[in-house]
Amino acid sequence: MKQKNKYHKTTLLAGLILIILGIIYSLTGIGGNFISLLFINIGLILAIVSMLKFNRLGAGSEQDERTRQLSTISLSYSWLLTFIVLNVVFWLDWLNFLNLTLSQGVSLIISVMIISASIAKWWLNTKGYQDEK
Amino acid sequence: MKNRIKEFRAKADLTQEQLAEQAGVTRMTIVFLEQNKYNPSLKLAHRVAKVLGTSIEKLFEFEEEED
Repeated sequence: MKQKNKYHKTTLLAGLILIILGIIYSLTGIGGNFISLLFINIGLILAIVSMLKFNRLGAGSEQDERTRQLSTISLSYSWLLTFIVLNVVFWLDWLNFLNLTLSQGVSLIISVMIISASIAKWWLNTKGYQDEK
Repeated sequence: MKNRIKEFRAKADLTQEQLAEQAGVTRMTIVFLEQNKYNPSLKLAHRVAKVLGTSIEKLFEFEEEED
C-alpha cells in the first residue's frame, strides 16, 4: 500500500511542479501564454485528480479482478454500441437524412465510446457483476 | 455460490476496509462478495480465506447445479 501512497504523492508533486513552471513562464514571458496556460492546466488537473483519488481511496486498492472484469465488459458493450451507432449514421448519411462533417463524425464516435463505456461500467458496478446465475 | 465471509470477518474483528486492504482488493469487492453478488476467482478466494484464517471449503459453499 506504500506504493499507492508514493504514486499519489508523485502525481501531486508533478502537478505542483507544472503549476510552478507555468507561473514562472507566465511571469517571465518564456514560451508565450499558450505554454504557461498549458502547464498550469495540466498541473491543476494532475493535482486535483491525485488529491481526489487519495481522498476517496486512501492507500487502498483502486483496481482488482472485479473492477478489471467490469472494465472489460463495459468496453465490449461500448464497442458494440459504437458499431451500431456507426452503422445508423452511415445509412442516414448515405440516404441523405444527415450530413455530418468528418470532425463531427469523429466527435460523435469519441463521445459515444466514452459515454457508453462509463455508463456501462457504472451500471455493472451497481449490480455487482456475477458470471453465473 | 454462497459464502460466510461476513461471519468470519466478524469473528476476526475486521472491518470491510481492513479485509479489503489485507486481501488487496477494493472495499466494494468485499461488499459484493458478502452480498453474494460476486463470485471470486480461486486466487482471491484463497487470499480472503487466508486473511480470515480459514479454508476455502469452510468459507465458500458450492451448490450443485441441477440439469
